[in-house]
Amino acid sequence: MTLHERPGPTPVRSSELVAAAELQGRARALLGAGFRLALVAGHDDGHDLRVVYTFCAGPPDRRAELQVRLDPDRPAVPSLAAWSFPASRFERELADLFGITPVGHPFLRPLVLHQHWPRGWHPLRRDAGPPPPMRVDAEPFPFVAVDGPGVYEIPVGPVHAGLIEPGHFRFSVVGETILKMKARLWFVHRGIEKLFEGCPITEGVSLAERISGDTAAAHNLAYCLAVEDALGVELPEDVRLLRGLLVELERITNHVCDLGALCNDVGFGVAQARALTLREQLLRLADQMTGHRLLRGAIRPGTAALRRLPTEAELADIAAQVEDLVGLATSNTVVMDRFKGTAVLPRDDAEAIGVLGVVARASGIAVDAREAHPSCRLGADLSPVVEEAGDVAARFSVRAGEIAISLGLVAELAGRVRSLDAGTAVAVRRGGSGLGIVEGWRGTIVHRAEVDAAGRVTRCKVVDPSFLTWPALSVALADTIVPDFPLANKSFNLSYAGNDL
Amino acid sequence: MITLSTVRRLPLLAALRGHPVTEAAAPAGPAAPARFPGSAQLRHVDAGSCNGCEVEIAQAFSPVWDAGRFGVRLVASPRHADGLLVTGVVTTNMANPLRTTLEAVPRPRIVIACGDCAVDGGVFTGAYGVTGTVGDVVPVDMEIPGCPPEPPVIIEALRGLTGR
Repeated sequence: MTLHERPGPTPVRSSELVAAAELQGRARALLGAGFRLALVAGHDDGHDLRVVYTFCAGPPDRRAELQVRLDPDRPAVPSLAAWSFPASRFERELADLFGITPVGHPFLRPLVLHQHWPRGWHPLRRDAGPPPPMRVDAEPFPFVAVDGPGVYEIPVGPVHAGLIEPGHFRFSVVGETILKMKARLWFVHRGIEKLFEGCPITEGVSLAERISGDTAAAHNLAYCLAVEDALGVELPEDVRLLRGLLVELERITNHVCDLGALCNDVGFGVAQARALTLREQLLRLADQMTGHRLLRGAIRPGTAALRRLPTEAELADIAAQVEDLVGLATSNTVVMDRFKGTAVLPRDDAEAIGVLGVVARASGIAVDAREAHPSCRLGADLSPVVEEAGDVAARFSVRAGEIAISLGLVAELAGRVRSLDAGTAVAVRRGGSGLGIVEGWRGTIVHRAEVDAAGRVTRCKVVDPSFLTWPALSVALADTIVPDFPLANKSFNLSYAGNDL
Repeated sequence: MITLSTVRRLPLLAALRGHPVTEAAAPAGPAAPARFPGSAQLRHVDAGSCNGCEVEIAQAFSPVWDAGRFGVRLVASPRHADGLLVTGVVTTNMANPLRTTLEAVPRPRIVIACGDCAVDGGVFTGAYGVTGTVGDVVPVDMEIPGCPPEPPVIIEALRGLTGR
């Protein structure tokens, strides 16, 4: 069956309440059947605590949920860390935000809350109250020290030399070769999931668009899909097409910028100048289509509205400029010499860590939520761009290939749209829970929303692909030289804001 | 041998065949006296931004808007800077890094709060991980509103700084 013939997004789904003692066995069965752990969400229902484990697989689109209710006096779950690396990270998040203990976790330590946050205060508990004063006597983060002759440490950040988000990187180095890099993130942890609580569904949009500002359309789409799924909204075809088009335009815009930035990090500034010039053109197109340069405001629960579509001539002009830009870089032997063999992420490691998106596809893993969990029927042009080498050159090449495909998808979607202002009324008859899965330009975004009968969001769990992919950067840096760190980091180009929430 | 037709095929030169890339600049206004006449070096600090402001700052310094022609540069270290260009609400985890980065800037110096979050907290006002606006944490000399502010707005503010 080709993508053209796929009947539409009709995921196979299940949701079950399981006893804590059954969790490990049930989770292992799902993981063994090819599902990935896409999301773990804590919930404080007032009378008790609950944890939702969302597993996904596809194609065909399958979604399975396991829910566990916990004793509020001794909240604990059996850890899944032995079978799933993503689980180990979600569980550390649960421990920080909800005070839920993952029993059997091999390396439990704070993740989200930095050392100066008071122990025993869990912000996503209902009775958390305002944050208490920070600790002044906080111990430093326990970075693992690497011993040996000639080994020294380089601490970098959170404030960096470029126009970049904050994070701390601790390098253990011999000469200029990196032995180990530990990333300490969550410097821009704002507490965005808590802000969703109690939000009328339409107001959640302005938060979703600011989870990671460069991914406004895809995060907002994931939010809207989750809310619509919770409320059982049937979407008209045009709504799906217009939304799909915006997410592809967002992918093109950001990938173009990344191509230029990668060249800039090897001293090839002219390509960066060209890329930023083209990005300006794309941002202006976005502004003309949606009224906002970052594609805000066009997607809302139940609806999608554009002011105009891109023309064939515009898309052809963009395609020609991208081709020039890519040719400029790939025909330059110095640029390619710096890209090739740099910061290799082997496929086995990428799979074990559970990386997503561009980074996964550049390491030979053909994951793409547009195929696995389609929210809009895309044409036969869609096929994941996969490279095997796992180096900077592969990540450059995946982006270049994806821009070409996305330009084709935009043209095709634009040709199928009948109305630029499409929508359906979102009626709230009863509350529910729903899932939104979107292949954003970095990778798969998942939102899980619970909505009450008054049409308010009671909980929105957000997973940016960066959360699952960040740990792979350290692996790719082993045996990379310190001067290539900016290049390696840019080739991943993960979101700090989307990770930190 | 390089002929004219070869040159025309070179992608590097293709852009130069068309109209100029850079937007024409309006004449400098007779604004208030510039704090850093002619030249201002700025260190950017993201204190809790969603990274939307970073998109537009990058565009303001791109060839299209070219903030550099008005004497403004983004520099790598606060020790090289005349001031900070701060984006985002100030998160609890960035409040101290923001203070210590400002401490590293030699005097006289300025602080610019760039974007609605930096100016008044924006949609993140009241979030548990947020300490406050930029002005709640360090003294602010200039505000650039917008969510995010578009490049011409950023440029206009920065030109006020250099008087160019």
